[in-house]
Amino acid sequence: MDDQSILELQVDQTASKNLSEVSRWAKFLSITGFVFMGCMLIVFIAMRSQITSTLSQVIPGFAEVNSLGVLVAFFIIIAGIVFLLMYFLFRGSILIKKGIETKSQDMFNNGLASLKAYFMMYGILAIIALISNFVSIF
Amino acid sequence: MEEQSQIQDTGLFGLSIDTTGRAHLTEAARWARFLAIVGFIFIALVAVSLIAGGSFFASMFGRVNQYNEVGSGLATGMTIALIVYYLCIALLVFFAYLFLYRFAVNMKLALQGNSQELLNRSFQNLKILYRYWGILTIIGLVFFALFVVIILLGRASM
Repeated sequence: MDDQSILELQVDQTASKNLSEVSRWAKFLSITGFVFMGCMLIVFIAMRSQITSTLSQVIPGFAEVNSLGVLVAFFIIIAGIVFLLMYFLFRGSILIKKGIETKSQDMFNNGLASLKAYFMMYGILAIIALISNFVSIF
Repeated sequence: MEEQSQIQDTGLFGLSIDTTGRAHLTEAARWARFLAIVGFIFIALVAVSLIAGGSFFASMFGRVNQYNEVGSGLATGMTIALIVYYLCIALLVFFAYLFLYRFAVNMKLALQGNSQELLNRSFQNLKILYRYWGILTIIGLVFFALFVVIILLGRASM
């Protein structure tokens, strides 16, 4: 028993205080992200005709293809990625906070899993961005 | 046995970094470290291109406006102001990646060496990272609100 307590790292008072603050700020950031996404969606719906006409002036032949469809698809992909990122952050923050409050190991571990998923998704997006940058250079 | 479980309850605060948590944190730290290193490289590239490109633009404006001293000075001043502005933003982002890197490295070392102190330091850096982004977001939102108010006031006075 003693050995196990030495081997296993503990979420002590300092760690739980820090993690509670992490979850508070992460929750704020994710909610801001959701609201921002909602605002962008409203702006996109309200100004879709202006956006299409501006783009058709900048990109020749844009109006000939199904421009609004392309634009909507592009927007949905971006919105989906940002939504997923914010969802992982939100879920992680809620579960870590609840896990600490109720001292539930399962909930806490699920929160850590969400945090991992958040960093992983960010990392994969960074790899995609790096590859697309390299492709555009050569 | 009863005594032992009592010790566990008070000493462990109910939560520990078990095998599952350890696996999640290891993976999270690995990705966070990768992200931080990519961020550092990106910021370095931005800083170098800003300084190199900025001096090019400043000298170009100087040559274009060589007979117009006021215009030349204004364009050069504007370019320098823009470079300083973007360098400040790069510095702000650099600190965020520094906290992320510290979180990742301390977490990796804490899990490898079973160090409670490093684990706490790692979580502290994660806290600083999110607090930092949160405060920057609040500042950004305040500026956005000011911008909207100015636009609305401008429209109302027209």
